[in-house]
Amino acid sequence: MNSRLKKYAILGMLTALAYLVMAVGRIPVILFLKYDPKDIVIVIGGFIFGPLSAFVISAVVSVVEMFTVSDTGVIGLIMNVISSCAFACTAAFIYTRRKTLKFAVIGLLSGCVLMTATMLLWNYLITPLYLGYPREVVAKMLIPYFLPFNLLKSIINASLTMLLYKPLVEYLRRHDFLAPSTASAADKPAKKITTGVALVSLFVLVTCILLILAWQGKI
Amino acid sequence: MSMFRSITIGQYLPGDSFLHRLDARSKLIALVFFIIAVFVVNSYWGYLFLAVIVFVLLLFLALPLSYLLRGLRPVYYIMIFTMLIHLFFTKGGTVLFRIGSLTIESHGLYLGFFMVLRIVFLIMITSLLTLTTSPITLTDAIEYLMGPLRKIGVPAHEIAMMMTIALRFIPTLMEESEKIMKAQMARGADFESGNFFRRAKSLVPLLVPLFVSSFRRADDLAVAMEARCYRGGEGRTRLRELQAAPRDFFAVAVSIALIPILIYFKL
Repeated sequence: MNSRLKKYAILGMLTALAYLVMAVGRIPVILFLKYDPKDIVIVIGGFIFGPLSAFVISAVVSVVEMFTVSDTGVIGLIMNVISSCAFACTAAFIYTRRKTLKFAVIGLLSGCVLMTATMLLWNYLITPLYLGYPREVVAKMLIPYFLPFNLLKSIINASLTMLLYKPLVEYLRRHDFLAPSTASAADKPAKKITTGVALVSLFVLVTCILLILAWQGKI
Repeated sequence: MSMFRSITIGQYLPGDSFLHRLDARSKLIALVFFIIAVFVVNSYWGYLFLAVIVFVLLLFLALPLSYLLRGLRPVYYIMIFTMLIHLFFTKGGTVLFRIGSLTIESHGLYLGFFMVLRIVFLIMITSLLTLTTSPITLTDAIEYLMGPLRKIGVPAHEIAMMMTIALRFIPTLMEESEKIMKAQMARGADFESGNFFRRAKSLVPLLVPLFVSSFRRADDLAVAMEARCYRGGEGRTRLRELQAAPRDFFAVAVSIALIPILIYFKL
């Protein structure tokens, strides 16, 4: 069967699943911060199909989210994609290098750290722009609220992923829903890696520009 | 189960108003410029100007304002929080209230209302789009607008197809998850009580069967598409083509014109 078609069908279904999990499993924690388990689905998709697929799932889910429940509009969309990608793409990138338990743990942990760091930085940059909070107030909220929240959220998502991934994939392989594990890092076309590099460098560039503008007090 | 009733997939209301008849692509482009315009506004007069435009659009739509305001419910938290932050932390102007060492100053009140209005406008404009455009048409429009990106290797058609699949299967999977939840509850699972960790952990007995069934569905879907000779975006024809009319160019032109007008008159 056409494996490309099958891959996109699965990715589409995972998108639906991520949306559903987001709608069912959302738990408000503090302020306007909500725990959102959709990263579990995204990171499992990323473990199976690679980091770029994780990026595509998170982007599509966020767009669908904006069009349907339309919570915080465009800013919410951007923050959503950034947070899911920082977590899922990092984890998937490291895990698809070498598919062992050790790499899965390292990947998920670095995903947690990177996601927390990115969200702190971007909340610092974006919230004053969007809601007009004075930047010093946001800076004061970062450590007591945003840091523990993001860390907690990503660690819970990471541990649930660890709990789910292995039995799930084994079941799927046994029932022929997935190709056996040989089709991993070896047959990855080089082009995809450059796309990922381009995306990451674009993101870093935008972050740097915003950071410089913020430090100079322009925004 | 109460938690499912609050979720409706899309807020689309079928109709035949001016906004409904606009091409989805031009609506999307206009939305982008409108959002930029909301960020450009820097006085209450600017918001008044935008409010008049939104009001005119609402007249076309023949929809009560309360319908749009209902979309604001999920963001009440953010609105209240924003207001409070500005009241207590934005200083300047005359002191209005003094409670101990806390003061509320006029500049904070001004900026607080200003930012709340910004949120209100952002949400209302997005809802104007989602109320008048079905998600499937929006997907088509997104595929079309992403078309140029195909040159640099973005799989525009496949991404749009993923979105269509997701939109089609969210209700199906939702029904299924309801069934699974009930089945697990009959076995003694508890989804709705306990602290944060407990509730997060209770997702596991829900997620495993959901994953399995969504892979099964994806498999069936791929077979069905293959059997109908699906071969990707190349040479695809459509039942309903998106068609741009003069009114679409008009709508986009107006939305673009907003930004220089707002900047020029310092609204």
